[in-house]
Amino acid sequence: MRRIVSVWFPLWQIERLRRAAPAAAPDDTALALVESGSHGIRITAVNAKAAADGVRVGQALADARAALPALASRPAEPHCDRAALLKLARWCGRYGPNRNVDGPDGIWIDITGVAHLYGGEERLLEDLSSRLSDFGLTARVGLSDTLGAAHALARFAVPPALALSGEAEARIAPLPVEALRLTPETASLLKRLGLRRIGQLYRLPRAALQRRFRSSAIAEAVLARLDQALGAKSEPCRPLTEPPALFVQRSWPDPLISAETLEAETAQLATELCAVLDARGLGARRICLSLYRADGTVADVSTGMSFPCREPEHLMALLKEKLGALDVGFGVDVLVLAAEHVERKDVHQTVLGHHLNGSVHADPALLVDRLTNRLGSARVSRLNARASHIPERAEVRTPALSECFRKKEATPSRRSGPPRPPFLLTAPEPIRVIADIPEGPPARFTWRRVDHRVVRAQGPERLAPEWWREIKTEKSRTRDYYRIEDEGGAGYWVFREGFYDRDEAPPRWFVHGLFG
Amino acid sequence: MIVMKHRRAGSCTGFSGDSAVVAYAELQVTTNFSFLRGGAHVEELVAQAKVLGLVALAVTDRNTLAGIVRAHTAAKEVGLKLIVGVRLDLEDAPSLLCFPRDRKAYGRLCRLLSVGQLRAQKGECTLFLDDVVQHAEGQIFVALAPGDWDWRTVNVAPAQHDAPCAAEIIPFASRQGLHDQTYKQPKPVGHEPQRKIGFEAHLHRMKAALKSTPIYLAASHIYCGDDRARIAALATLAEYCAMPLVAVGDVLYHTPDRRSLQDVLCCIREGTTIAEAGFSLEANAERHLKRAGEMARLFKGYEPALARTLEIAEACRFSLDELVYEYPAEPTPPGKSPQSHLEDLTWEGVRWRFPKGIPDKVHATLTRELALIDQLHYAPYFLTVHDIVNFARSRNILCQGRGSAANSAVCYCLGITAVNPAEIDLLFERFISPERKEPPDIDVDFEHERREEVIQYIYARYGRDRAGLTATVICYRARSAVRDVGKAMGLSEDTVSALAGMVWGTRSGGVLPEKHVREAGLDPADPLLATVLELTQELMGFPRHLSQHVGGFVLTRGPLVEVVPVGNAAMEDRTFIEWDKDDIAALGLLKVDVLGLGMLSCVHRAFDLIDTHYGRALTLANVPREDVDVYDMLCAADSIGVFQVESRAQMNMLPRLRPRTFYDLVIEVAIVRPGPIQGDMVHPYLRRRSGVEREHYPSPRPEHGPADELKDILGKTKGVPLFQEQAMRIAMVAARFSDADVNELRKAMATFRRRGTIGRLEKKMVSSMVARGYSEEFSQRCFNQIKGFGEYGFPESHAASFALLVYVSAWIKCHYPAVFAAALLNSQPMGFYAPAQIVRDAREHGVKALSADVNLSEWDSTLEPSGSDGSLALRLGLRQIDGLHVDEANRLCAAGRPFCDVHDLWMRAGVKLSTLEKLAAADAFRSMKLDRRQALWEVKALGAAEPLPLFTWSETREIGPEPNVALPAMSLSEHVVNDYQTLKLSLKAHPISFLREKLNARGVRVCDELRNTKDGAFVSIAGVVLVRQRPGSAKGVVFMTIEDETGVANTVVWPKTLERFRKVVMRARLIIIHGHIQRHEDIVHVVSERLEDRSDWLELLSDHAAGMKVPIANADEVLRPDPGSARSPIHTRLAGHPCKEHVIPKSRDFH
Repeated sequence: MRRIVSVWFPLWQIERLRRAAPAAAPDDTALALVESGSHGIRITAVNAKAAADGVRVGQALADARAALPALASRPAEPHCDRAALLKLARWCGRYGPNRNVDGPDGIWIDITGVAHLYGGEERLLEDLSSRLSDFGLTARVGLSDTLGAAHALARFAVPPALALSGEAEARIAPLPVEALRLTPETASLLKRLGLRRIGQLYRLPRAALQRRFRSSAIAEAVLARLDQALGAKSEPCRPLTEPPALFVQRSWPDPLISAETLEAETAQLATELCAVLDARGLGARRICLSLYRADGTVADVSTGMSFPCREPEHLMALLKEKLGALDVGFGVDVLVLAAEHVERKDVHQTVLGHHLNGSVHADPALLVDRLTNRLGSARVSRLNARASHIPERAEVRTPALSECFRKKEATPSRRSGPPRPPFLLTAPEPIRVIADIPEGPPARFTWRRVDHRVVRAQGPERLAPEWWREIKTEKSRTRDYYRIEDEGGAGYWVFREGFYDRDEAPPRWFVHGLFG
Repeated sequence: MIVMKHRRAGSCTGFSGDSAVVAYAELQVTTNFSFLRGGAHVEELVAQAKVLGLVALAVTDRNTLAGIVRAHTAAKEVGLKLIVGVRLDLEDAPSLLCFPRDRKAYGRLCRLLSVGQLRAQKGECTLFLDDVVQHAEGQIFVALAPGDWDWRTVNVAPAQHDAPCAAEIIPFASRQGLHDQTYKQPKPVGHEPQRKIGFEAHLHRMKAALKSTPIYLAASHIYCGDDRARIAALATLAEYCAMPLVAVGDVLYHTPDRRSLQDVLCCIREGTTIAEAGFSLEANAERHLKRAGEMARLFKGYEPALARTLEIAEACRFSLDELVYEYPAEPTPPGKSPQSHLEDLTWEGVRWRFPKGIPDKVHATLTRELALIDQLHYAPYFLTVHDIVNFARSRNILCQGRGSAANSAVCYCLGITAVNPAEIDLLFERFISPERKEPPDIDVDFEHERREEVIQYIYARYGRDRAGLTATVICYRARSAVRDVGKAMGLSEDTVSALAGMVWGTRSGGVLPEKHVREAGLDPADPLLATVLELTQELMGFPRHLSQHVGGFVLTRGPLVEVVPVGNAAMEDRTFIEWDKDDIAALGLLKVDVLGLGMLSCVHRAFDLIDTHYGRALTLANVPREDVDVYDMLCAADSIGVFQVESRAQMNMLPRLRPRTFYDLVIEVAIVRPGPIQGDMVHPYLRRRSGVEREHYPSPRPEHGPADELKDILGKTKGVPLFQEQAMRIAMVAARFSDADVNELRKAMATFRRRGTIGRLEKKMVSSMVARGYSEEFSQRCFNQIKGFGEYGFPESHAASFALLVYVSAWIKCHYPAVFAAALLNSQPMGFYAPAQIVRDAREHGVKALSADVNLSEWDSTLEPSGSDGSLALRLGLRQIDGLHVDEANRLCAAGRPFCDVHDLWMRAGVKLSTLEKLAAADAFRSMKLDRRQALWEVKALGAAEPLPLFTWSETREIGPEPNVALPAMSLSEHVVNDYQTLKLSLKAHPISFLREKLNARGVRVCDELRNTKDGAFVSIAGVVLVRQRPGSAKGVVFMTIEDETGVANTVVWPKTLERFRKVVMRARLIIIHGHIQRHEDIVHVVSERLEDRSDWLELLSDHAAGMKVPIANADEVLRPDPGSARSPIHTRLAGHPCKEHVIPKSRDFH
């Protein structure tokens, strides 16, 4: 007989968030996680405080707010919830190799033949519960011969929800029919017929029941679910498998201790991995080296690349820098190098700059990677265009490895207007100017103690400050930009800040850029 | 060529120039009727243009004339020349400004826009150059360069007009000139998607297509850096294409400080935030109106381009004043004048209305009215309304007119209204006076379910090119404005909803009070929030889109599409014009309001039922009048379901006002309105009526006029102004307002939020009354009342028409309570109360109510003999069952009943299984001796497949007999719960009755006892929450009506208590209230002190609910206005489903 543990995390979304970011889910304020759908913003989870204040899952946020204005809300993150649950399921492997997530907030573990390792089923459940509770998770566990019964016991029975072998039928009889994992419609229908508890179904003639609850999807049918819970019908349970990413692995009977060996083995793995990538026409964007230590702990080294990469040397260069700092403890007995994120990589020629295999490579991306890896992602940046009329705001620095790097096509452009100078001064420099008022271009100006006579001028291009950025700060003044050319043919981009006729303070002139 | 009236600008290096030297007319102005593009109201632009001394202003919105009437009115007020214009955005060519020169050209422009709008979806306009060419005669066009046009692509010769900016400084533009290239020949382009051709090519094409029609080329200076070069390029292009260059401002707002709002509008339009909007925003604040001098400076060297603005302004002589209205000719038979036809119809009607001979007084009134109608040439108007009403009567659709002219003797004789002129003394002259050159106003209410027939009749009779619905301009209100601005300013969705959520009842229209901001957990001192609120304030009142008016029809003799553009409505088969009712009124066009009224449907049904079961043929006009029993009933506030007087406020008023005559009902209807309440007129009137206070007429000092000047106006209402026109007349008589003043006041009343002229009028009226010797307090009250009327005015004639429906519905309720209940149920949704209260009220009036049953019920609720005395009982209709489709129910009713069992029903009626399930859930199989549970069991056995056609009539069952299954019996309380879920009511018991024991243990009394409880006593009561109200006129107070098995109770929650028990007040379905009794005459309220939410107890009613984890699903709530009532509160209502786990339908909440 199989023995299945079902674990239910009634507060999964909230507790998951709290574990990830304690500040995001404080216990002392009412919090709701929300999702916007076609019927407006709906609540998908609430914390204990909000629940105590009467906020319910499924409610519209607006309704909840009407009654509880102080209700804080955050967007739900179903993907993160799911990923974290998967991770937790993986962790549950310690109780049995066959385990998987069960719905959005549950896990099942097949512990057949395992319980004695823990000193019995009760002790196993205690161990599981206390560990989960140490993680800061509210968990309810059920244990029975079938997944169906365990699932029902975890969610609906009064703890301890342990059904001894063969006891399932009796234990689940008083539970409500919802415990059978029915669709809400089916459960509602049963209840409308007065059939509220699972035990009531045992007595009914099966034919009568079947006629009313035969369903095209057999799993939804009442009898199928009942039989699954009672073990009269087997339920296929698909255990968790490892993620299908590419990985290569080596293990040794004796743990490796020396750094050199480790590095050499890693290099071997890198070569193997690159061979696999090459064979599939892929390149790795992110790799992870896992070192399984002899004491049962795991250390991970991961690194990202700004381009799909399958050069073992490059991978090694990136890994090597971090490998040295690792504490291998009592030694490493398993090494796994995984390509966590891969992309298509077509072969293309590279030249310039980077010394590799005796030839000279040109790809600045390789240099960027090396620099980023060495100096930190915050220190290596690139300029991106930004949609702003204000010249100094029209470009923005972003980390070289960030996503923007790849979105060249999204670069915004101005709609019209004269060209901007190719060279912009870091800070505008004040100049002295003779100009017509109110809006004439400079006729003469003095910059860096040199006088210039203007022979050509164009403008003004009037740029008003971005008022929405100055709501909380001092207001700046409107600028009139002129493109001018002096006798020597040099082009300048100058501006007047303020107006002669409107402002109290006199306008000031600056040179901001140079034309070739 | 027009002779230039101004001297050419000489030196223009001055600051803003001198407007005396040059003149300028602005030709390109985008107002906020180009939705989410223009940043200013039409009125603001016009006023600013006047201040700046512009010669004329053109309004050129995108493919629309929606704002033109307002511009016309505003321009007339300030004395500015308005050029009627439009910006035509074309599919296959650059945009054009179009200015009609005369009435005919204007007609063509309207037709052109109609063509574009009718071929597109609602709110859009699809036009091609070909369309423009076909309607080009008489227009002046100005071509606009596209926003992304690059002037560098033009081959620009160094234009000789291009004067250097300063000595020896040559613009860069002059370098670009290349002489030797040739222009490409324009190619003809059809309606197919635009081929990529350049702007120049388009210009040639347009010039060629428009032939002799004048077309100019626009140039603007918007400080984008290369303006002068661009203007030079345009000048060259202009010369080459033979399109004279004309200067325009391309104006988006009146003053530079609107830039922020304009930016926000852009974000709303683009669906982005201000931080992300980037280059969609303008770079500067230069798109405002500019003085002539400034324009001269910017266009220095292009003086002819400025002069041409005047040339165009001079040529466009068309004014909207030329739209002379002509009534449609249809209702007048050939060979007859409208007046003589009207007189014939009227006298014919006299014989019908007064078969026993006409009273002298009425005869005199008729003669006088007909003379006045003749004098003002209003006969066609009355004939038009008569024609529509006649159609309705021929189709047996109940209708009634209301409005200023409706309660005339003529209308009574024409059958437009049923208010007998002999019963009520309404002076026709007061509503239609020769001085006020306004068309009379008649709105006609029809049965709401059959109004569409009338609308389609009007379209059919006058044709779609001559009849159109008026528009309603949907404007930003506090809630929508704060939402859009907040989003654009990048506030989180949370903060935005919090801000929007605070705006409870947006009537105040003002900024959000600081307290509310804090209540939502936000900091009012935060500058960002302050900016958002400031922008919100600016945005409020901005038009957002056009929508069709509920039923205002404009009818014309000539084609309507030559008066105003007509476009498609969102509803199928509806077209509507671009102007709203104020615009129509401003131009004096004929409008007939065709409205739907739920109570008329209800009364019609009641009349039919009375005719069927009692053999009595009733009409609105022949219901016995002045029935004492009816008034007794109303005085006792026994008015559930009665038109207009069933609300809590009205029910409170009835015992105090104690109506005894028809005119009392007129007052009753008018008094519980924002006008009299805000003017604090209610209590003085009641005191005088009950004799506590002497009737007293404020009078001016003797030197200013007769002491009784107000008695004429206020005599009927004991010296207290209650009706809209009384307040207006006070302004005329006591404040000596001139006709013009009164007109302004009337206009301000309708639109004062938009214009804000009310403050000036307020000062004027109050000071003038005080100067003439009235007390300041009285004057202020009179004015406050006018302000209140501005929102929800009720003139006497409206009140009179409504009062008749009050009386008729009360009469039916009084004498035929079962009929009344059935008619009300069959007309749902309408009115204030849910079916449960209607049925309960009927039962309290001795009507026996029978449950809906598959063998006994029709779709509608019916009456059937019951009991030994043969009295009629109310049989609930199948329509009461939630989610049941009418076609299915009719199939069932037509199948030859009775059915012997579920299978028989399924086989013979051929209804869907889902229908059977709904019927079972509603416990409608009792006549087959099946309760809902057993019936559901049977239905479920029928199997998933529909009956095979071959076996449909076969006697053999597809399935054999099956063993009897004993399902657990359902308790009565659960039956009740299920009844509420599926029928919204239960005839079996009240849910609270099952909890009585629990309640007794807590010392909770029954609601019925309150009637005999002393004032000030402390009580606890419990009930299901029926209605929650937070009226705008009672600041922060919530009224709640709760119901238990004995009756209903009204409670008041004062703001302080509300703050403490907010959650309970807003959310409870079952509530326990502890508080003190407050008695006022017969009215009993419980003033809440402590409230308990006991909604969880309702779950106890289900079987075995205790101790079980029952998931609570949430029903969807839909917002919809109440179509059956004259006011249109937004209330939430349960759109339930039988399977939803709700025990009690949600209360109706009125904000």
